[in-house]
Amino acid sequence: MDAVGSDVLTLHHLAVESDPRYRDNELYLQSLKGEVKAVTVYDLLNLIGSVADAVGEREARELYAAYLRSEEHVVLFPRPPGSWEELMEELMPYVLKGLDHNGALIAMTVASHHEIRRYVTWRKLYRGKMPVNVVSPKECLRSTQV
Amino acid sequence: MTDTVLLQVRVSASLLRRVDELCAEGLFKNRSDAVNDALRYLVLRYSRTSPEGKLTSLYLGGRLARSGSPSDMVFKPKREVEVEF
Repeated sequence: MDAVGSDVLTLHHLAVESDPRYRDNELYLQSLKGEVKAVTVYDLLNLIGSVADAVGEREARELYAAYLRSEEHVVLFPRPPGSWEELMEELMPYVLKGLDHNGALIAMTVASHHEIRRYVTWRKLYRGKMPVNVVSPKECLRSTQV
Repeated sequence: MTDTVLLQVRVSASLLRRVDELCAEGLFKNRSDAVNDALRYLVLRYSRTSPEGKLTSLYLGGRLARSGSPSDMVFKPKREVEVEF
């Protein structure tokens, strides 16, 4: 199962048609229509923040609820940390690979869900630092065409 | 206590032993007193929880009805949006 990054979801939900990635982004999401996709709770919160900023609080709240209720999405939550020590132990290996705090939280969440095969994002900085293969929507489209 | 009802619930024997220990230490008069305190805390906790907090709790407990998809929720931003690479 693919875990979809907040950048991919933000381009879609805010219809950023002026962005050069928009077309491939839409084609990728359309290719997954009807299939179950995953989104980490941290990516979902990033998306909700962007929607709240660009559109409004009501729409952001509705979108959060829609993702939790969705038949086509699984929202991934990590095991809640028992302590700061435990959280540091889990995050530090990813931070030391060069991920920022947000990326490390996403990596930690993906690592705790073995059904995730790929993390789909346009963020090149995440490549080689996540516990699963990181690919862009464009690369996903290429791999399905081959 | 006025207007009380009898509540029959099943709890694990180990948890009940811990509750009995708390009663023996004098923290509660009896099991009913302890359960009342726990229920008051539970109600208070959820009365302070936001709608998103409650939804998250239902989702994690597998008790949230699932239907539809958010894919059709496309918004018109109030201003131009840039998504970081």
